[in-house]
Amino acid sequence: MQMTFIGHQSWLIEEGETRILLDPVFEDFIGVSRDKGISIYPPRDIIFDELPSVDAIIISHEHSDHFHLPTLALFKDVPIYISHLMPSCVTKLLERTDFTFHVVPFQKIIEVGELSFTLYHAGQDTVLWESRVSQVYFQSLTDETVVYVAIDALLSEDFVDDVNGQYIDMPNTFVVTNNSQITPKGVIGSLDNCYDVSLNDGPCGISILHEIIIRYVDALPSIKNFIICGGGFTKQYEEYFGAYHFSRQKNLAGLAQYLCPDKYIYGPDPGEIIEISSIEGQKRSVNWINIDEKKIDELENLKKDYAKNPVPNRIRSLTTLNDSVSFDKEKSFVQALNLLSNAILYSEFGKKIFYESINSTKDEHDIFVMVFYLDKSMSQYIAYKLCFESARFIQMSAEEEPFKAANGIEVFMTDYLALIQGYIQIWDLAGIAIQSWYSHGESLLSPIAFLYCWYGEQIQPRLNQIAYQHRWSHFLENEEVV
Amino acid sequence: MKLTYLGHQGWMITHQKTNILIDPLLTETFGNSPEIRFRVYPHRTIDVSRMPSISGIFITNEHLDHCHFDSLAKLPKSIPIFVGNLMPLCTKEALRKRGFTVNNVSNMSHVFIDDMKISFFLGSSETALWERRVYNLYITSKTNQANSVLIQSDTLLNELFTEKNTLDLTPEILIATNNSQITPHGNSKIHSNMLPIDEEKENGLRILYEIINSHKNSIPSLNHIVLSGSNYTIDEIDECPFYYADFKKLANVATQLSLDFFVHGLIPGEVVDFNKLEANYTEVDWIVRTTEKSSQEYHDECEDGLMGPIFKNLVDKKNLSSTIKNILVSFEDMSKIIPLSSFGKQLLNTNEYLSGMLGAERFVIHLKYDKNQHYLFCYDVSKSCFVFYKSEKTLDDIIRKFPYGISLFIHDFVAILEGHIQIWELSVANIKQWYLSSKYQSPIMFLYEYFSEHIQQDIARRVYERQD
Repeated sequence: MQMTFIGHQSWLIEEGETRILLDPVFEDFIGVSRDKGISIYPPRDIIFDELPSVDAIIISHEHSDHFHLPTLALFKDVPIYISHLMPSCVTKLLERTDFTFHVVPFQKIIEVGELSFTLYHAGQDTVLWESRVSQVYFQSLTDETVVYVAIDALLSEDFVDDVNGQYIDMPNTFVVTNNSQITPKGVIGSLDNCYDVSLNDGPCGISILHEIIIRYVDALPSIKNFIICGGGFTKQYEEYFGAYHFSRQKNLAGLAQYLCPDKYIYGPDPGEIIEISSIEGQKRSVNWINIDEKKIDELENLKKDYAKNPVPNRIRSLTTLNDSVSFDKEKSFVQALNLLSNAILYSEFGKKIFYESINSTKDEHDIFVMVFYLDKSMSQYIAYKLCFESARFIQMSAEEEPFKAANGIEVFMTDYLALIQGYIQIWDLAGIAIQSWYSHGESLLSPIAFLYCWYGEQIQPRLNQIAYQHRWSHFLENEEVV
Repeated sequence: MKLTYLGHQGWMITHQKTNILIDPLLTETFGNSPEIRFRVYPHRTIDVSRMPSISGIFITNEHLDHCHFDSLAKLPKSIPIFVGNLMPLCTKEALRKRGFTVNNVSNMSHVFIDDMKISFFLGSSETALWERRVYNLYITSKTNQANSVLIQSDTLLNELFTEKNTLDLTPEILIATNNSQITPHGNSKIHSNMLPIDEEKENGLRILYEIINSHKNSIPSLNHIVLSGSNYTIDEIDECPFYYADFKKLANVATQLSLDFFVHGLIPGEVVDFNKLEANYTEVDWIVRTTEKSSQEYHDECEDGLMGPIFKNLVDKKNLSSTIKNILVSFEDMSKIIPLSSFGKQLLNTNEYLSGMLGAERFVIHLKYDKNQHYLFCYDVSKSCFVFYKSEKTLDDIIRKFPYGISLFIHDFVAILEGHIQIWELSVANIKQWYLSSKYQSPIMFLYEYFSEHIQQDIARRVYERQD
């Protein structure tokens, strides 16, 4: 069995004449549009016509870097496999195409030609927005070699149990995801805290490697062969600093290899073919993927320039909706805030800030605020504070100072309206157009992390389905069945 | 502050015009006997006569590679030596007998030398028993904590620096210890296990995470971490340096994995000066490096070999039976200490092994005289004593029968009991062990605990007396 790296987290798994695509993204960007979306890194071109025939496609979960309708449209006759936990926005959308798709249960072996695959459910403590992820176990029916692709979430406990109980073979090769998305000092990141953008735990590259190569596989110490992928994109602020730190997996894996001579660790560039039985040795590349070395060098130079002259950035507006939108008349805006205030109070994040308000000397109104910018220059804004007594957001007066609150979110009003009306997804705003600050320091319980849960595909399938429709209407052939 | 690396865990620290030495190891080799010589790696010679004048010597603990009599003998007796007041009495006596002035400093107290303030903090209570008397040293200027240096030495950091910083200590530079001693085969030298247990091997990633990220996490004031640690080759016995003995390369990798945090690895003779905005590197000419090959070349050549007894002359046919009797006597004491240890607890909790349920004999000390003559001292957990057998079996059979054991030459074991060498010297040179427990409860870890100088002071005195 061999696997070809297509970029970010896209793979082609191959045994003899059988080929399966995992989470294929063939375009050079994902998201809203080429100029406002997210570019694949390292940049590469795919010559689709040179690609040999494919027998099946697996979509691990709903996020836009895994579920990419324009790519699926290239393979109209190829059956698609998804788990029964896939949010309905995806299945409803697939129903409106002519694609064949199969919903399969976890831990059931599916045979396709000379390959079999099994979906495993994400580890139980995974954050909500990654909790529907299927991790995939591939086995060759020819020589029984195995690769496990540990996508995005925590390692599946069911998979660990199956290996330790010897119900399945130990993988020859283990694919891990580096989703760290480390931005340089001063540049906003997806889960960053405006309070303290510097990383306090020293060399974060060591933390990343320790997390993915050691702690992640604590339960399976005999895994020796690691492939690192993921984090393979640059956001639209790439003109600032190039690619994320440690996102060229080839370089990171090289350092990891020096530190872990007891293992074999490899980080492929797009186009490289990896032999699953023994990942060591010279790598070949396919002729249908070309990486853009020139662009990589450009991005690398940007990173060096930024390091010499760092200029902290702020969020920028993503939408070009009418700037003078009269938000207070917008029924949907008021409704969205009311739903949001309730949702917060139900959540772990809400619990955190509630107790913070009790133990704080601050007025409860200074605990959590939402700041909406009304113009591009960010000079005008309207702010709302969360009132625990009424479980509602209350508009702050001009004298009040929202930025002194202990926790908060800042976003452009037009972007927020676009979000709640289904023009864009929360992921389009992440790390570019929205930012939060929080006093407790736990990024997974941050205000922004809460919004990832609340506006994500799982809780708001309808909203996200509308966003898909806006983006991909030309791929949809059938009317929606209500 | 300016740090000059002497090699191993020896440093000269300079502030303004004052120089002090920390755990000076100034000779090319160290070791209690002529038979096993540990050569500081990267190899170097130190011309003590050209060293700048020293105002004080600070010794963090009693172990030979920190409190090194032969090195101290090269320095003027007029230089005061400062030690923690819990350093074992036997060690202080030996220092005084050699003509040194020994000053006790109690825990959390300090001494001033010119503008330098040097404070002693006993290491964390989580530290291993044999490192329980090791002090962290905290060096600042008399007036402020800018550029302050914290020296970890062979212990975990005192909680006052990490968890409960009630004294408002803000070290900026940490000299952190890498004592991993990983062989090129991926094993930690002192934790090697003959059983093929699929335990996660040590590697550089774990080491860096442990000594850099954990420290930076718990001590936010740190701006720089400087690598130090046990670094030696053993003449003729194992001339291959440890993996990651090249602190410069290790620090370089750590820095590449960092955005804005600095990790420093020095080679002996290098000086890092933290007085300027950016750390500045220079060299001194009184330390000359003599390593001929790169660590990679050593690793390529190295082989994992076994050898015969090191202390051949200590046991012969004539004294063999009296030797065995003496060993049995010495085991009487040890057999009562085993149940008190976590190793002993493991023995009790291991009820099953390869051939089914175990009897009371679960730990064996396998002493070899020659190819044909082996002796077994089996530890019986119900009687809490050792039982002696003359063995007919092969070592493989013995390993299959007992879940815990060590194997070594009787001559070498006698060398420990008679004070020719200490247990750690032999464990890295010529002992094999096997165990089912975690590596922290291995037979050799128990022997480290048992032979701790601060408890077995009579055995330690014997070692010191041999060197007079």
